[in-house]
Amino acid sequence: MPLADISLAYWNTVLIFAGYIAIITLGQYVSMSSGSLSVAHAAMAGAGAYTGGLLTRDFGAPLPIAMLGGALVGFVFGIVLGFLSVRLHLLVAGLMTLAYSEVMVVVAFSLDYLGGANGLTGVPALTSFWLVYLMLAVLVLAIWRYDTSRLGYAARACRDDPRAAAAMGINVAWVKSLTFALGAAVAALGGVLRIHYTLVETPDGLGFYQGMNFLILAVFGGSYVVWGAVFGGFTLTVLPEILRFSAADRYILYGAVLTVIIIVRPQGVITRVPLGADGGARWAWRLRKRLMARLVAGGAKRPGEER
Amino acid sequence: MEQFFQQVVNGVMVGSSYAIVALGFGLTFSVMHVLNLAHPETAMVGAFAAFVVATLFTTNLLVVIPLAVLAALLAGLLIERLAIRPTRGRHILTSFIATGGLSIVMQNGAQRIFGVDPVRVAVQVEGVQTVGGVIASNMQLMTFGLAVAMMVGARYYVRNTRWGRATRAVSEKHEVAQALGVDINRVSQLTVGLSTAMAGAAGVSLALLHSQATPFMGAIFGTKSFVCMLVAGNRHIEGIMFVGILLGVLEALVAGYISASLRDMVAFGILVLVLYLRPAGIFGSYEHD
Repeated sequence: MPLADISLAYWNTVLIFAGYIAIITLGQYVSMSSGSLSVAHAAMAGAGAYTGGLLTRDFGAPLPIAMLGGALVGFVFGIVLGFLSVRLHLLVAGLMTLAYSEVMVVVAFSLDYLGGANGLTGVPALTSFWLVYLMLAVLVLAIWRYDTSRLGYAARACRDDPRAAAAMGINVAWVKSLTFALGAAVAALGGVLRIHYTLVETPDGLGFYQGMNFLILAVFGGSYVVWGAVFGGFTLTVLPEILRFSAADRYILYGAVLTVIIIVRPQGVITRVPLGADGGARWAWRLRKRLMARLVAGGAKRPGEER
Repeated sequence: MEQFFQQVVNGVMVGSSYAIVALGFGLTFSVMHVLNLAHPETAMVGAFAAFVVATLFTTNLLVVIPLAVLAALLAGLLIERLAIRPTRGRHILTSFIATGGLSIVMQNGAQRIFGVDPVRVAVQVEGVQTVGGVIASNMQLMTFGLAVAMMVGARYYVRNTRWGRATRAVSEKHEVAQALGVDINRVSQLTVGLSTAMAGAAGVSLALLHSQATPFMGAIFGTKSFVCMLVAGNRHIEGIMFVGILLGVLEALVAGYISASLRDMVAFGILVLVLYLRPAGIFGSYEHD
């Protein structure tokens, strides 16, 4: 189907999807900023969605209250999980989050109040295009500020070398748990927005494969800059839609693109500083330097710098 | 009591397949420091190869199993070349995503070729053995025997052969091994090839036990095998085998006595418990990042 045939309403839907997926990926980014490995963010988004959906459906709460409630629940789950897994090996902590999300799936399945296998339904439609993108903008701004805040610096210190961070007087356990919980809260917020658009939340959406998906989005986009998460969440949602063949074909292409790009740019597509060891980035960096030199006519060159 | 032993026997049979796939996970992870997410998909490749051979040519097991293993081996070598060799020595998440991308390609490729619905693998081994009221089909016994043979073979290879020693050297410190003349690419091929060939055999076993194969069979099966590897610790062959079989048995017992819907939680329950008590697995050692 050529692109022009696809209606505006269709793209509206795709872009709203991309918007809240980018928000959940931002949550993943915040949690990963302190060096945690998480596949639980789908479950966090799910927890937020269930909470928010229940609040608006059964208690008649307005959407802002639902978003607040969802984020709060995500934060609480996040801080508990963060403290449980803070002293474990990176992989093991990741597996702890995996176990958590699988447990959440079973809980959502077996509680009749949450709709069981059919999922939570009957939620009012409250999410609009502008709301999603407003929230995305606010969150990007907030997380961009977070990156240069004391907590953000402390988180990155914990990621790069926890022992050195501890020696500098940073409470590693606390910082890691707190950032993990903040990320979980952001993901839960995305979940609240999601359920008020899709109007249903099923237990399947909480499991390992969904969680891995958000991890992939964040790492693919680049887990070192806030734009990386937005880029990853956005591109990898829209990409399968642009590659419109049959469903199987487009995922074949999606997987291939993922593999190729992560091999070419292992730090993700968007990075803070181009990597010295990486051919493609070095090339782009040189190109940029050349352009800059041309823009700033005869611009000052540091000794030893190539044109 | 008979029912209890019956469940145990069924669990052992399924568990041995978990164990074989987990063994491959552990081998690749210990030696190459790579988490091969496409590893369970090679089991799926083996299952579909068995389907193709059984449908088009012959249902003779002596032909079906080697050809399926060969197909899985080739798939494994392809994965090694495309996603494992280029990401070796980088951050573990890089290999995780590169192989994850390939696993998406493989799942959907299989779906493209064979369709979403399960295909019927028409290979049958007739007959059952009965011991004191406990029934085990010859098919189950055969897959169990295959699994044990592979475990013994893998252990022999790693412990007692020249290439096995090179493999262990690479897993200890690959720079030193390289300096002493070990061809790391060859070790990488051998390791991944061996792992995926075993996974292929496990895939055939599953396809034969359930008489069917689906494009997404690797997913849940792979997750549980992965959990087995983590619970056991990645370096201990017998340990992984033991935990795999134990998981199979516990799942069968939970499904039989408590509730079938809780079955899939067993693996994760064990995982949380073990990681809490022994953060490096029962038998120890995840590599350092």
